Amino acid sequence: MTKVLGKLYWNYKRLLLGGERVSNVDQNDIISVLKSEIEDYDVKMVVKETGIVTSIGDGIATIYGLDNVMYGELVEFETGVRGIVQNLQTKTIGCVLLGSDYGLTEGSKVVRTKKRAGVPVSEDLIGRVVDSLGSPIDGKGAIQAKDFYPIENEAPGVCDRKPVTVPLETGILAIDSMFPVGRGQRELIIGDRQTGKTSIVSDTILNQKGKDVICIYVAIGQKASTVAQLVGTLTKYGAMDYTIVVSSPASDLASLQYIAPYSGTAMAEYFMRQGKDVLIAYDDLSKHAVAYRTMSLLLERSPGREAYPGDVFYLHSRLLERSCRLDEEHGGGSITALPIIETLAGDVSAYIPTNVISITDGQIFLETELFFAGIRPAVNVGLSVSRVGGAAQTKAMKKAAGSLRIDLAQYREMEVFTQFSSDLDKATKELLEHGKRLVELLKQPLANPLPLHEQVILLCVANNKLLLDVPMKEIKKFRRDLMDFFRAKYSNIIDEIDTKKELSDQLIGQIVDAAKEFKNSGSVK
Amino acid sequence: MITEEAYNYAKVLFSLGINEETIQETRQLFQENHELTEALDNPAVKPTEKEAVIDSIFTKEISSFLKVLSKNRNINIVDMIFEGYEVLLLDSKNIIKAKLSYASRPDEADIQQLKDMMCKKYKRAGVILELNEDLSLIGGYVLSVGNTEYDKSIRETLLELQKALARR
Repeated sequence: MTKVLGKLYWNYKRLLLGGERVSNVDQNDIISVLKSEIEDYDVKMVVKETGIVTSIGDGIATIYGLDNVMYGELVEFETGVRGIVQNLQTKTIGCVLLGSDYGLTEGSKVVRTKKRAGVPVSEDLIGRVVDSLGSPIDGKGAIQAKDFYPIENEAPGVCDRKPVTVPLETGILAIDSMFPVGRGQRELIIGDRQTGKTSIVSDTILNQKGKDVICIYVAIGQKASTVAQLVGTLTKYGAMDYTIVVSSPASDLASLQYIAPYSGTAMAEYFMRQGKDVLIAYDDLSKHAVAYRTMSLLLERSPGREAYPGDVFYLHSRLLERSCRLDEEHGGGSITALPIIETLAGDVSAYIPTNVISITDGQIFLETELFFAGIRPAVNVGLSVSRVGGAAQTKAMKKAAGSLRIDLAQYREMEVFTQFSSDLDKATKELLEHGKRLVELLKQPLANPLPLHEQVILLCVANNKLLLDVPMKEIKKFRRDLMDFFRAKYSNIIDEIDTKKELSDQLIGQIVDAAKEFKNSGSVK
Repeated sequence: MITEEAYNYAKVLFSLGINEETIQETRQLFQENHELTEALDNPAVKPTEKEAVIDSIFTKEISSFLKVLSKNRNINIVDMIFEGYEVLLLDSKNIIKAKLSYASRPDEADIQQLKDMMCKKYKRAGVILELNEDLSLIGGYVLSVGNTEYDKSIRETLLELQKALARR
């Protein structure tokens, strides 16, 4: 007995002192904890439902026994590794492992836990990088859990919800003006590789600084270096103070990649139920679908289109349906989802893109051609849409952005005639020049989200054709100097936009006059 | 372990109403002679030869069942079939099978008390209790009934203590 307790003590000490969990534990603390545990020592009968592993491989185990196990239940293997029950058959069950299969063989014992898979949640998660199971992976010590939320949760019912009416500003002019996102909306970001999908998400997160929005970035099947880079950017701009990063890199088991977005959503729900607004980005759901396909094929489920299983639509619909805006009775919190889908050669008609397009409340379509033409963010104005965001747009932005989409559409239509510029009539020439400047205006560098007043002022100036006589090369400098001018001389206009969030005709007049004054001041050649 | 396929065969075997002793003898024969299973499972041996072997070794009442097994190339699961048969047989007799592992053997009175308790809990007429000494338990006992394990061993208590300490 003494020998066993001695071994136990050393195991415990190694657990605490080894690795990154706790770095400075006092030996006396360990002894006192050990003493109190031993004082309360009581021999109890433990009743367990058990099964045995009949086959194991590729992170999938077939188990014989566990007759009463539930679908989705956590089971524990004799090595301490846990798994989620995914297939229930007459005599056996199929289970995905949530850890290494090292040490598990045919005949290994499996025990029911009678619990569904879940993640620990608390405010301590904010500012941390965690894995799919909510364990910290940033070496900053343990996270004190306040509650335990199941990863799979029912979406709030119809009566618990409220329409999307409050904007969630991305700080990206092209998006906030034409495809506004509201709190509780699901807006898909779709595009080929290297078109700036993640940049839109990171800029949106940066723009939430001081806006009481908790951001959760879920990286699924990404390179660990990419995630580290993003965490670095968020830290650099102070965005980690209100952000949680859930990372399941490409080296993770398919099962862990599969549960990552659900874990992230469970964390988001914890904050939403406290009445907070949460922004969650899933980067990306294409890789999530691939991880689920891997799991399903190994579980011997029938493959369907593109070898995805039949329930791949439900996989994403049940995830995204959890994003919503709750009514006041239920706390009034919201989850805004920004799922990302990576297309191949711009093919939006593939299986997963069409599924997610139909689930979400709009999409921002990014194009490679635009990206390489220097139009960044490379938003395709024609194919992008926001179905519910219009109601959430501030009155100021709605008025300022009024004819922007139409102007850009007309410009695109007439763009082919630019080569005949000398033969064009004055109106067409003006339309083309205006369009060019609008496109230039919508270009925005990385990590440079624009506040509402700046977006409104720039759009007002552009709509009143005050950019027409500014040379194309000067646009960038002009907008920068113009804003400096406004900040220095007309901070009252900025304050009015920020507080009232409305744009009266009088205010438009003031903005136009101020812009004209700036132009006449000689700052512009 | 019994697969679904083996259990289905076991149900057929049970429904044939063959004498219990004949089944036991056949089971023992297969357990003691692995060459027999290998020969009957060997695709190089002609089906007619396999049938002749079955006819010459086994009684008429079970030979037809074994011929079907051999024909379907399922003779390799014969052990599981007999295991399934046993489950069905005990079930029909309202008897439960359990396994008791212990570090130090309990006395007969304790065993009888345990049997009575199981009969009451599982509403069965009798219990077949397999006794097994396992020194790794350190003390106490582990009772296994089907998929359920009642663990009152020192080993389990220490493991629970270890988990509790790790959680702190």
